Amino acid sequence: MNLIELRNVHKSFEAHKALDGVSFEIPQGCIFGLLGPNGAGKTTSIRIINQIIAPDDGDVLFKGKPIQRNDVALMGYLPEERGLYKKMKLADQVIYLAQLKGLSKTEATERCKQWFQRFELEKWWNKNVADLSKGMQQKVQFIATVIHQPELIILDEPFSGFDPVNAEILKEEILKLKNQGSTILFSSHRMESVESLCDTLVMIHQSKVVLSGTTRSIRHAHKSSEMHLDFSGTIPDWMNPSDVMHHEDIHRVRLSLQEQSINDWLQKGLQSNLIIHGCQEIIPSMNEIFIQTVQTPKS
Amino acid sequence: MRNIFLILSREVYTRVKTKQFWILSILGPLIMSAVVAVPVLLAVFDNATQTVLVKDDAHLWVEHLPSKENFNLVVTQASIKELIDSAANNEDLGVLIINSKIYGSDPSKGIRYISNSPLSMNADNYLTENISKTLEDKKLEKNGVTRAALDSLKTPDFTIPNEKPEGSSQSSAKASGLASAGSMLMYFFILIYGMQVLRGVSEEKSNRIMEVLISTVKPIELMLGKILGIACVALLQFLIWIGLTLITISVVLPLVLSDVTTAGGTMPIPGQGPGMAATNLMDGMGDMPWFIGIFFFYFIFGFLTYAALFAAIGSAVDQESDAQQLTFPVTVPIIVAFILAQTAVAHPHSPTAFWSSMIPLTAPVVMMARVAFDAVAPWELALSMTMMVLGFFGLSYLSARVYRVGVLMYGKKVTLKELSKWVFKK
Repeated sequence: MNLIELRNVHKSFEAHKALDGVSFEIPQGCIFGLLGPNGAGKTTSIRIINQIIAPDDGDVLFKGKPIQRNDVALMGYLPEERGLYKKMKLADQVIYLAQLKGLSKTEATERCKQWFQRFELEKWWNKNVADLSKGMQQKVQFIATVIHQPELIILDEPFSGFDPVNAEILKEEILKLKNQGSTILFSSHRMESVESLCDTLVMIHQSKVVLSGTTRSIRHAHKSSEMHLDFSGTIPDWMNPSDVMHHEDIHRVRLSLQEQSINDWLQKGLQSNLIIHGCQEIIPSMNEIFIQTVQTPKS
Repeated sequence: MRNIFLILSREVYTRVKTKQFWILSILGPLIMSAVVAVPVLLAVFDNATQTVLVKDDAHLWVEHLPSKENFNLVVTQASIKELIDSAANNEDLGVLIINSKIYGSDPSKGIRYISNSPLSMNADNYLTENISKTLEDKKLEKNGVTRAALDSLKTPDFTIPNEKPEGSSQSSAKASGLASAGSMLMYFFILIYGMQVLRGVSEEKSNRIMEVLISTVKPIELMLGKILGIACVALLQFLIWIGLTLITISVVLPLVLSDVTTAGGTMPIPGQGPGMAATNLMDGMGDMPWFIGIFFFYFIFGFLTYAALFAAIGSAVDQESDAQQLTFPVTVPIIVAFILAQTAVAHPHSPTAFWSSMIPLTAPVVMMARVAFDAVAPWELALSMTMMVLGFFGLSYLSARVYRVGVLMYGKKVTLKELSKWVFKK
């Protein structure tokens, strides 16, 4: 079942078209990547989902029904531009935001305690935001986003500002939340984090959806039907590789898979007594696909 | 509703907790009381005695010199040159030389004061008053009239007691005190706390917490929660001011000043400012207990209307310092209202006073002046109050429309024209 569905959504800001007929579905319980270069329409899509702005045209469905104002209580949003009250105690701040999301004060305080323990922030309970490092502020903001156990967690560039250790902690927390049943909308232009986390994704470019599907299916759809073969020995005449690299006495050749399969190439190589070290189909990384898609001029 | 209440509580809690709030709450009335008390206290504690040598060639003061405490007059026969020399050598010494020209048409031609430091204002006033009275006495004597006979001709100061047909009475001095106090307090609080709303909104925006907030609550809830919260803080501070001012003026000041008045010191000069306004207000309120009810009605709706406008402006700017240009059109009506209130004190029944007490942006300030003079018919009050309520809903609706667009707008210098466009934006 889809938690969120956008159908042919349009949104313009004066002369600028921010979304031009965007449609996608976010299946329940997955980590969904919303990708695209800066200015593609990611933030606009997010703001339409969490009802900060209304679409000019098109429908947004939440669990199959047109989205209602009350549905935002079931969402948690970590915007790209982080922000907290500078002169308010950390715990008060988190509890306040949790109360706005519908938790009672006791419940909010209880959960706040648990989260502060989890992120080792207990001694900062009564401190102001201004006293914290940026990474710690990020943690607090993350807590404020998820404290009410939302069904949909929207994270806009969640890893920016985190050092690798804390980024790893955050990644684990995101996976934990997914296992607990939350759906996560993850917006980013950093492909390596997308590749390792997301189950499905869409890519928006110049206000339109240009790619969608599971990470695996997208990568396979973009493969160039070529393989790498590593071997030692002389390069036989029949091979005719499109590219050759040498590393010490090992050659790495690029071979087309359009007429022959990997098995065919291996068989031929063995027959020619090549010493084979390895072979792999060339599947582009999300990063390569991203760059390739963004650079291809739209027809 | 729950969200508005939560936002309101946060506003009250974070503001009342600050040092600034308490400093302003406690110092405000103290400063205002000090305005009243300081001149009096200075007169009391100013112990330095000034000595003035008098060469009275005109025999103005035949019997006794008008010396008084801290102001010592000593007759001398020394020559004018010697006197000038001693004044030049002695920093604190003054020399008063009087000759017969003092009896002419311009007495100042017959009197010289020579000193390194000029006469204090008090001493100057005291001397001129005394000299002119002595001159007057001499002229009276010459014409065969006694001072007592002259005094019996004079009429003491009096005011006209205003009476109502049904018997109750009201003094117009009290009414004008009440009028200017009420309108001034209204003006001060709307302006001071209106600016706080602006600051609060633009703070949330520049903090970037705004996006989290409006993904949680409706912009209108956020706006209402904020302005209602600040209204509560303003009311609280207002009550503290009134309480403290009452205590200082009715309990503390009389204690400190009890011996001052008997010593013939300067009487407190009626001051201006919220502190004095509060006393005037309390003073006049004894006659018109319903005034307080009307005051609070206009205070609340007037503040909320302006606060909504200030919130809209706060939402449109990235930081508070950019707001000045946009604040101007909102501060103008309140300043105009304050000026109109002064004319309403003079002519509470004039058409200007009537119309400006109907327009929601000027009514809170002007109405205070008119109500104090009891110059408002019940239907006028009812109409004006209805206009206030409608005005609040209308303007806060427009403000909310600007607010909802403004809070998401960054990095753009906004003009008034732009703001008016946002109102109609879908």
